Amino acid sequence: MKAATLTQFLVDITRGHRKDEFARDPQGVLATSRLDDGLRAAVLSQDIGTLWLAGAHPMALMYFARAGGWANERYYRCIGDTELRRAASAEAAPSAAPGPSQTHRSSAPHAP
Amino acid sequence: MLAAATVHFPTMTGWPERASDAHRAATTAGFARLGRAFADAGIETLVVFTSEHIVNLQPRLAPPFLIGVGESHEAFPEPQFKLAPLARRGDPELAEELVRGLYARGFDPAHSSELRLDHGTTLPLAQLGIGAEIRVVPIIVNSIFPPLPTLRRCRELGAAVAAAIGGSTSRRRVALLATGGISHTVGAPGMERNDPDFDAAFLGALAEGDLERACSHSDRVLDAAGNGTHEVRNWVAVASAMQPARPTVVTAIAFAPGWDTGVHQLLWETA
Repeated sequence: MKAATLTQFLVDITRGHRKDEFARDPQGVLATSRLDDGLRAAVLSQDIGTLWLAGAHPMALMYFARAGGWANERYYRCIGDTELRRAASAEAAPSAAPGPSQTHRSSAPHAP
Repeated sequence: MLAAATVHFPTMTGWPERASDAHRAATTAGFARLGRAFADAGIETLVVFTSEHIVNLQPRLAPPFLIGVGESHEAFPEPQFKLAPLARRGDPELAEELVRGLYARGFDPAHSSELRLDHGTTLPLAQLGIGAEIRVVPIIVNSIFPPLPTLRRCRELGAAVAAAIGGSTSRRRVALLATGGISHTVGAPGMERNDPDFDAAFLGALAEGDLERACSHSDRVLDAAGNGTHEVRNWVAVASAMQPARPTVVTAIAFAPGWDTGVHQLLWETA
């Protein structure tokens, strides 16, 4: 799954052509999306941490959270906590693959 | 030609009370000074190097440079920032001249007849008091979906736009505006702070007219200063368009607590 695909989906359902449809029938929209099952579940349950780790663009993810009724404080606390957990996990397994936070960086765009 | 550059962070209109009285007053005074300069120059068209926040650009289609050539530009509704959703009058004649002029100079910008403007453009236009009669030609520089155009390419773009305006037959009184943050973060950890050291270094280079130094920052350095820092591309473009003129520093607040960012504004005036 490319992070760009996830980001595009979040854009489509928060401010794009599938916004109204998603509001009416989120499961139906997800079923026709290119997201895998894990990300579909994360979108449906507003699992912001998982979507963050999957490399969703920060701005698109923030809009998605807001659309779901999240206050900014809750959103930033969630991704901050997620980053802390990711850092702790990387520390415990230093030979692991590069952390997905790099997918949020312009110098390493949209890595899968 | 006249040009200005200003930040456009929306907390200044959405939550002005969060900043100190002094910072709020300085920001208001800065916008007033820039707005007066535009009014005194009797500008007819404002060419705006701007950034946007997933209104026109998406992963699906994210050109490095996108010029609005429409008769008007609708506003993307952002009531949370207390911005009136005013459509802005376009300048199709000059915009098309710019597109063709850039083609002739080795640039291939995308163009759109239906751009929508978000706070990256609507906020500074409102704060500057730019009247509805002033035509607006937005040049959106991709600063959100990598790969992004390099700073050096943005520098070249600014020079090419200035040359195209200089060769225009539309005979408008044109001014330039750059909008966007210096260092800041949106939607990612670190949104409560900026990087005053980066800001000082970058703005110092612009103030000295040293665009080689201003463009020396890699995307990694900009990332480290905050993901919104990529909007400095707009400042580089305008600084380049105004070379060899050097700007006057109108507002320089290294960090405004409550707004949680720096407030910076520059003005280029040439005879």
